[in-house]
Amino acid sequence: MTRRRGTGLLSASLLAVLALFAGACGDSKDSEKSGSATPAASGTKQDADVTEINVFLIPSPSSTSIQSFIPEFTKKTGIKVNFTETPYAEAHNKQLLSYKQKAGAYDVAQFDNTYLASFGANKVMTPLDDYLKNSAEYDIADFSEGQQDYGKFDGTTFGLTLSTEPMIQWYRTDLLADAGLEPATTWDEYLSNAQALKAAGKAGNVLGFGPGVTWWWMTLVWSFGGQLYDKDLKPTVTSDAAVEATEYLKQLLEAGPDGASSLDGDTSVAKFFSTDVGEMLNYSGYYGSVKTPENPFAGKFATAAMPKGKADITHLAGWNIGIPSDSKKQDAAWQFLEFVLGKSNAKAYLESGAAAIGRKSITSDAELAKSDPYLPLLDIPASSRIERYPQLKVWPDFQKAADEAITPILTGDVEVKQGLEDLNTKLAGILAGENERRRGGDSRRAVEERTSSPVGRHRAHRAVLAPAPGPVRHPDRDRDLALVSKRGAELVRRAPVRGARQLSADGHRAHQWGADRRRSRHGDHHGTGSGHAAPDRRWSGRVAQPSAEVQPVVPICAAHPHAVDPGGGGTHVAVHAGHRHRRHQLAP
Amino acid sequence: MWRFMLDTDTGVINWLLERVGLFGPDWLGSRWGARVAVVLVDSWQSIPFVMLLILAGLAGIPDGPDEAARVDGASSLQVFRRITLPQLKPVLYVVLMIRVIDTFKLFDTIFILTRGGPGTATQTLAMYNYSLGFVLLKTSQAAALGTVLAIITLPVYFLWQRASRAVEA
Repeated sequence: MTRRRGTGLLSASLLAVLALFAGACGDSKDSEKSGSATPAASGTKQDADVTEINVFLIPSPSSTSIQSFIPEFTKKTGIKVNFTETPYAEAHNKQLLSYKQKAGAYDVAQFDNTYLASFGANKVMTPLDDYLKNSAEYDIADFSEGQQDYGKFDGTTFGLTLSTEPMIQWYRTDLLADAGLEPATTWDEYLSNAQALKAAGKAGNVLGFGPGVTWWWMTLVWSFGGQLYDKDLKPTVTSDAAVEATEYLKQLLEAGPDGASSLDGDTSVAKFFSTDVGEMLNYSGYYGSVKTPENPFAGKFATAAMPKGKADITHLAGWNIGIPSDSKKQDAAWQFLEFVLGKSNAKAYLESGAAAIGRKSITSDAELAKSDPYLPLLDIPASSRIERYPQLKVWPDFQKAADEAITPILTGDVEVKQGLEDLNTKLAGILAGENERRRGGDSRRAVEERTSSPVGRHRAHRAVLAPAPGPVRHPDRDRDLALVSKRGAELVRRAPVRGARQLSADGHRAHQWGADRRRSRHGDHHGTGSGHAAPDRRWSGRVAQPSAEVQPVVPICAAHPHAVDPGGGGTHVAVHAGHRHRRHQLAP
Repeated sequence: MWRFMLDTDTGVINWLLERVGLFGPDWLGSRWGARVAVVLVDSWQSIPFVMLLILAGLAGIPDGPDEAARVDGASSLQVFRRITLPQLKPVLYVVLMIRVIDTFKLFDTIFILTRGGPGTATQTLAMYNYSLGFVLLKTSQAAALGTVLAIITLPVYFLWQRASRAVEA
């Protein structure tokens, strides 16, 4: 899991096209490793017709550990287990392609938690709640409440925890001792330690200040008491907490190694493990590197809880593993998961080299803590609010925008407040797309419209500025008027658009008559074609009542709800933005 | 390799600069440092190729006009400007065209060195296209941008053809 940090966004879809081709051509390619265990002579309790299952893994210590359990599982159940390992960069695209084909190619699949929202929203993974309810072996109660949520999307569990990796504090015991410093418990202490070390000629601290900086920035925003967006999915990155967190991050960069603003997650870890850097903020999953005897500073690293801010939060990351919806052998798949990740094998799983899973029975094991002293940090106290990567389908857009905005702020190329305001504007457009998805709209079209064109960004900017509620003037009206013929324009003036565009009580503008007619013709999910008839979320929150002075427009055409009757009989003039249609058949 | 060499803290380039009393810049972490680094690395990669082409062009120029000009009393600079350079023009046009198109699609160097950062300081159209297609999975937009890139580079080709014809005439 550790390998992806910082480079996650860019590497998440690297070689996706190759993956698509690979997926289209078959299951086993050169870049993959596959194998199987020999089945036992006879099965035990498993359904008689299930003799083998296919497991999709992503190269990692967790994957290696899972493979080590296969022979024992096969011996016990008689079920042959075939596994395929696909590199991280290709893995999720390959999975998605397989799920879309509904071929049932995989019965168990490992995936990054960052894909949980996407997989959950598309329902490509099976809900596991019923299995969990009835499994004493897995014993979900052995996980803290926050960790139980780790595989949930919209309240449904789509994945089990395959590794628990909170963001923690790392430090060099020798450097801190030489400077007479103690590990930090608060952000103030963390910064002052870093500054003291920097003043002593060492690099104070390191994290991924470059590509992928969003992971650390949002951790600080949360910890400083802020949020990335509110419950209505309006960005809040200009809040005092976000400004304070960004300024703090900037100070950390100044106390870091020279040139740290180009470091991503992995290179920052390499820097910490191979040079004199006093502190690091990173995920616990990197602990395996600490144990490497070749490390010149082996034995001088230690870990501690992430420093506390105004809000007590734990930023949690890690792998998930679940059962694809198209699997035809879901019971056998669950049996395998239960065997590998159940309580009985929990200790063996950790000892086989996997990143730890935060079971209470593991994190409280004093014997295990001797070799892995970071384990107690995985026992996240109930008082700590668990935060994980935002469960947004538009997350790649969100992170790209934040990455591009934060680094220039940290390097001083852009002033903090100005940079965050610009980012807030950009995020408004991106999150508007997510809003549409959640309300059942076509998110892709909405996101593209709002973020990819200057017009979309301008509109998003206007939405952020939030003008005072009042009579709504259709933004495209003037342009519409210029587009239509003289006669059409005259007709529009006589029956202004705003009269037809009434806002419903909850603030969602819709052409009721147009929408009703489309539903009657094409069903509820029919696309809007020219994009002018769907409820427009840009205007949500702005409630205006229809003006009494305005004449209502009589609907005349099912395809063009903006159309007005020119009085010619049998045809109409459509006057919506960018289109000018004539000779359309009038609706009855 | 270049990324290691350009590391501000532990890179060999800044170490060498320090040895001669110069303070090395933050190559990859600052806006202009990153841009200069990309130019330097790309130049390092392409100079040998360009030199080979020009060398081949020079080898193909006959000695006769050069010697005749020298007999007539032309200086070395005059020989270069009036005799050598005009004969080298077709090769230079080819080199120019190849380099312009290469620069338009510059991706690997930037991906390895800066990933387009800091921020978007070194983000080229090709890099942006990669982000669209492979990070944000907006393949239709990426395909459209690819087409636009091809259209942008077309005039370069036509200009080169026209110039080549003029030279031949």
